[in-house]
Amino acid sequence: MLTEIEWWGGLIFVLGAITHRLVTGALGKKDEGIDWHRWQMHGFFVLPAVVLAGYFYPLAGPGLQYAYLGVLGAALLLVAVMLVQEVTGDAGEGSAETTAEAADGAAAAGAAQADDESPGWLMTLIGVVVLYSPVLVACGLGCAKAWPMVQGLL
Amino acid sequence: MWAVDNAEKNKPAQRGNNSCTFTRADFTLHTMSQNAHTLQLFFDSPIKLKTAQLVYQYLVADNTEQAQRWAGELGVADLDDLWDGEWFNQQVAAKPTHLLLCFDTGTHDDLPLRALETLFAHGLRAAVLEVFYDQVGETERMHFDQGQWVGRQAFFSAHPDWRAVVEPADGGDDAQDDPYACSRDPAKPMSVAKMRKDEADRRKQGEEAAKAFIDLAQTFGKNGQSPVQGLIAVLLLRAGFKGLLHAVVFTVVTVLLFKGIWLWLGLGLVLAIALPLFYMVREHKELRGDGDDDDDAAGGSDDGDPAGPATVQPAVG
Repeated sequence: MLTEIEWWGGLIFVLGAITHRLVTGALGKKDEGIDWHRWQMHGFFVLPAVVLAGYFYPLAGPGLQYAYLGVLGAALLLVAVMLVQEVTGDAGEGSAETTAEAADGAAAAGAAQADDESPGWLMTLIGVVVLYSPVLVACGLGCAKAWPMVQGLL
Repeated sequence: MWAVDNAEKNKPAQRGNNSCTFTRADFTLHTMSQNAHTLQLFFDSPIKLKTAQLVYQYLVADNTEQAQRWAGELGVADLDDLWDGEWFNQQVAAKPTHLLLCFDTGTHDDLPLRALETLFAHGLRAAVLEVFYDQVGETERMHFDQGQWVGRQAFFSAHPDWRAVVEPADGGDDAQDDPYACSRDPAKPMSVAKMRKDEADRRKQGEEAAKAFIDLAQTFGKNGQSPVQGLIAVLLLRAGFKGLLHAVVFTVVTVLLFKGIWLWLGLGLVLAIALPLFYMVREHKELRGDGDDDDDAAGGSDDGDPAGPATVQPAVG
């Protein structure tokens, strides 16, 4: 093994990678200019992945701890922004619908609803949470690891 | 390859002439199909308009020397950037606001994107292209502005004064039928350069695929096997290998990165069985779907053999 990551951490990574592929695959391609929403989506998955990888390492020096807290802060910020965008449907042009639809699909499948009506905001929120659970779990683990660090640094 | 007889070439196609309607009777008048293009070119300045007019009028008159001279005035070194030797039935007319260029092409020829790209780099502000596809009897309009292919609404938002020129009212009393509703609009504005690149890529891929298929068909033909059946087998095998490759990559990466070697080896084993099967079934479904469509088009046939078209036998010789 080249890393200290446990098997269950690997499972979270794999699930996160699958989710990342599903979501970015559903995004429409922007022909010209910088596709900010796509890059935001990449950051939304990559930063929590870094946080999760750091969770399995001791991070002895204060420099490493500050760096970890910085990455965790950025990841939490991105997650919060993305979740708000997904629930309100306020993301970049043509892209919010795709991810929200995927989330809606996951929510509808999870709830086993045969109803044809489009899910409401609550179902969208549940769908988003299910779809992005690897990211949310990674952030949760990062917070659990960061809390003693914050106390030690203060 | 496409070949147009000169006599047929000289017969002008039914030009849309700003109208999107076409009758079947008109279609039967032509034995050889061609695409009729009408380009309305709007320039930045009257001088550019006049220069371009001279270039195209000399080109139409087959006076390449003078055309080259005026193309130089326009800033274009190569006449091929403005004109395609395959165009025929060409006409040019100068209007007060724009230049009107009409020509026909074979049905397999590209849109005049190269000329448009060059003109946009040398004083063209906007253009409207109308193509009448003789073969299917359909007309299509495309709007270009500032070097980009834009939607009809966006075009007229930017140039409201030109609507009367580009879409003159035909005086018909049926206001509900918009004769200009045949506009092909992009989802987002796209540069003409990118359109050209996409078109070239698409053409190249098509040629490569056709060549690969011909090679494959020849190989199977030599062995006395149906090329279609052989192609299906190759596609299924490729799908299987793709699944196997994905499983191997997954296993190697996870074993190297994460603890729990037996878990990842087990998962890899499951994937090595499931992924090839999944990809092959998906590929087979797609192939069978295509086959079913063909069967339907041919009036239906037995559905016992999923590889229906495999009954085609190659000419061995």
